[in-house]
Amino acid sequence: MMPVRISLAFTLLFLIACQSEKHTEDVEVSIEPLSDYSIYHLPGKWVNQQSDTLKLEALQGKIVVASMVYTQCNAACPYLISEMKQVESFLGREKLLEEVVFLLISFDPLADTPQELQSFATELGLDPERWILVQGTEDLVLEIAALLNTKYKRVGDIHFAHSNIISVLNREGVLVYQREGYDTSIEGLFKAITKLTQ
Amino acid sequence: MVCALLAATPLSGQGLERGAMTQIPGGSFIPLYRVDTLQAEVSSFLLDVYPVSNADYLTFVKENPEWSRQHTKAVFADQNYLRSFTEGLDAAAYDQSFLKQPVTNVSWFAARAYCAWEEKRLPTTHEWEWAARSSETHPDGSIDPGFYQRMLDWYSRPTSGRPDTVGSTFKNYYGVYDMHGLVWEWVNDFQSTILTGESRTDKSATINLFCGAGASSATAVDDYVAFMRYAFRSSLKAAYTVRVLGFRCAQSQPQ
Repeated sequence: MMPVRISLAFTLLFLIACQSEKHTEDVEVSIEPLSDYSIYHLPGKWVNQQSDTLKLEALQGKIVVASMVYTQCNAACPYLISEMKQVESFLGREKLLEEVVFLLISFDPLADTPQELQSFATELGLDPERWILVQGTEDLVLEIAALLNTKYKRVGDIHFAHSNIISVLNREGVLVYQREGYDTSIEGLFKAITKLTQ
Repeated sequence: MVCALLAATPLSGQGLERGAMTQIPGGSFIPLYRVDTLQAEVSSFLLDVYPVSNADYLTFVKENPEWSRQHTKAVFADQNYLRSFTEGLDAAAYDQSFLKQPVTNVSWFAARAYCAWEEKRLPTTHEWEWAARSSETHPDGSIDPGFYQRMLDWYSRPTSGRPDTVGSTFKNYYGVYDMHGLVWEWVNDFQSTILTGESRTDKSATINLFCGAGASSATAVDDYVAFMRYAFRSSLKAAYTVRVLGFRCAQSQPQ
């Protein structure tokens, strides 16, 4: 087994040496490379409604239906979530629920504590089996919004003006589909998700 | 006005202090796009005197190789990221004028990483707009005759080839160079500019794209150059890199 280890080590050294710039340390040589377009490359830790710490890469392997909301939102957010629940029902009928996770990311980490997220989830009957609600630092929120093409701005102390978007990420965390606004049908969401399960 | 040179590292032979900053005193103003209250308050802050240059950014990438062209993931910067850095990371491989040009073809993520490396941050839209208001001689350029016309001239010049070197356009009242006429600049909260359709006056178009944005409207329809900046920012995505888009950094001051 020694020769195998040595040859693996040499292979690794060879790969590192072949890179065109010298670098001193820690450039990832991933064993299972994640697509360069995956949003899971965003470093950082989130906290979910159960107060557990979560890294985005933990979502790998599942199809993710995501949206950015805030719990005090009384305009479009409840409607978007109801549409996501329609997607959930559709997937239930198609026996595809195991493949999917529904992710809600809060714009407002200060007001939307894990406890708030939990109450919100309970109020809306969001099944903890597959609904993950998270909050992060304000900087992380800015970055994930950038990755999800979601504009937002605080208006006053409680509310936000923001894009109304439902996003679909494939199993590697690559953004593959977005449905913006709410005057178009959600057929596109069903199709995008179904396609990923084939 | 207090001029503070902070975190300035002389670039040998360049004649430019990397990261030189100056203080922008606080105040309130009516931004072109406002939501809710009419006035935006800006606390005093420090702003880079110059946009970040190619020389500056080369140093950053040498010390942070994860931000080189090869290592930066596509999700954080598109395929044109640092396209002009064709000779590697050794400054000696580039001519002097290139080194002094503002770095462009950098994404929002890359710009943020650079500013964080300098223990700074990107300016907010309000901070940038507030600092950009001044002409050479007036803190409020709108009362300086001819200033608006000069800006219109700069903004309507076709961009050809690479931009001029940093410091080549005017120095404003606060001692900041190149706020107009060199490159467009990233701001930290570019995603907060929510424009729909011809929204200088049209508040009703595609309102359902956004929750709560009906309140956002332009306060002046005659400041075309400001409108162009907001429209440009609104069209950006964080991973975009553009030949005419660079950035400078800011730093909060204890209040």
